Amino acid sequence: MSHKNRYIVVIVLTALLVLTNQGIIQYWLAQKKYDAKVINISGKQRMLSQRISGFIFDYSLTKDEKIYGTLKQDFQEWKSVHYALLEGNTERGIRKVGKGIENQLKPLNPYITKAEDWIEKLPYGVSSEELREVQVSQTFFLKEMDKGVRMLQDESDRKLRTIVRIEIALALLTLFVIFLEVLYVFRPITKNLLSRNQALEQSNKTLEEYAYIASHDLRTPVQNVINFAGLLKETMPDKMNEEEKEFLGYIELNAKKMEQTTRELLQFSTANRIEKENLDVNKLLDKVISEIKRKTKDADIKIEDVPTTIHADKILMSLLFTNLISNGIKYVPEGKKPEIRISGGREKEGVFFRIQDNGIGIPKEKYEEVFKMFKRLSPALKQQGTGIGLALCKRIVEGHGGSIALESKVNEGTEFRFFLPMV
Amino acid sequence: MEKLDYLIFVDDDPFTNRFHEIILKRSGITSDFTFFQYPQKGLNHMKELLQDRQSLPDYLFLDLNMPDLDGWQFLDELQKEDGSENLSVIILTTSLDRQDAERANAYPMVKSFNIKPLTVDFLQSLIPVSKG
Repeated sequence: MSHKNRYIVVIVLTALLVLTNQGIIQYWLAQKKYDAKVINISGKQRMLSQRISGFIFDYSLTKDEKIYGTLKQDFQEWKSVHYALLEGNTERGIRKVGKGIENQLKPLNPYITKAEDWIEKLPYGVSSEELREVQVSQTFFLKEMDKGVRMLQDESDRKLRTIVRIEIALALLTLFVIFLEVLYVFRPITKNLLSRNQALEQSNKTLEEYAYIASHDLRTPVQNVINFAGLLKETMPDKMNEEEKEFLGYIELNAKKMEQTTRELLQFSTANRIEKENLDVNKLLDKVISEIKRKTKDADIKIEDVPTTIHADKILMSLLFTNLISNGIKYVPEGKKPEIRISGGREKEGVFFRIQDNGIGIPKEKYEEVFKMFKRLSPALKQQGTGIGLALCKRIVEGHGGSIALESKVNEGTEFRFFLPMV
Repeated sequence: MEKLDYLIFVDDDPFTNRFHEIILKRSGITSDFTFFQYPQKGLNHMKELLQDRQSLPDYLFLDLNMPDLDGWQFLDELQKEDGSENLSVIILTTSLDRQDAERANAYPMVKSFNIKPLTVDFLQSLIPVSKG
């Protein structure tokens, strides 16, 4: 059975169990209510029979018609309820009693017919023997009725015990279904997810290795093209015409770009290998800046207040700052002096850095895009990147558990801000 | 005047070897050098030199990423030979992996880990001060 089907079966089973449970509880509540009603009715019957015998004695002494009327009325009521209990009566909302109680109540029937005749005869006078007979019957009656009430009570308790047993069985069944659920649904699903995760991790690793090997193997031939183009440029300047020199320039330029791409791809594929150590930020920045200034002398790079030490990977941090600063310098329009400001500070759980430039800026809708691999803005700009630099920055920062974002104003400049947690 | 006696290069890429030859000639540090495009041949040659107690090269330039016998296997094999501690190896690679650099520097005979291409300046920096 597929995981989906197993899941459906388990859900249906659970739903059925919940519904059954609810049904039983509702039934039990209704039953309990009815049992209470019947027990109450039986109690009233007992009380009525007592009242009836009391009225008989009262009437035989006083001959008061009012008492006789009430006596007859009470007797009719008692009789009607008695038969309702034995046969059921929808108007009164009384169901037929169970066999046990029926056997208890039925033997009273001959006494009822007898009592009815007797009450009819009452205005015409009764002897003191007949009155004693009423008294004897009364004692017997009450005893039987007490038994009846007790039986009703017992039956109700028995029902309750059955219900409790069913409920326990249902709870055990629910536990069993949960156990099945864990065994046949959640465990395989978790296992499946884990193995998928492993497969994904493996595939990621393979891709990274592939990127590493591909870029690594490309570096030798690309370097050769650069080397020989450079040699040609040096040794043959007089033997080449302007057009040939132009072509050679293109070969060299493109090979250098390819070299840069392979280098950055290699850096990207290895940026997940993080070895943290305590770093002197100013020392690190000085090294990065002096390296950048070797290539772009006219850039004005200033370090303002920055955290003095951080715990991070030295090489990756150098790469991160180099990329962000170079990026700022690269995207300055021709004729404008690049100005870079580096600042930062400490926050509760880490440190942040800001790298501001006076470049062409990035429109708001492109904020997210610039961090994506091979996404480049401003194709018109002379200085072109590989489209890896900022993706690499993001990977480095996120690899350290941090985050990177930017704020920018078109034609005014951009500020990159990254946060590194320090715990 | 040449400042170094003898150099050996082991690199499977013939174009790199040709370029290094040109750079080497330009540097003028020596005219005695051998390029091995097949690492196994280079290793055999080195073993012979060590076993016959002949004079060793001033430097052995070794590439890492090579087929059949890579730079690491080359170093391991060499390390088994007596006298290998007297060798000076310079790693020349396109690898940017810092783990490679750390791993290479763990071999006592490795004196330097360099990213290609080889430059005239670097070659000239190898001349001992007394000879310079």
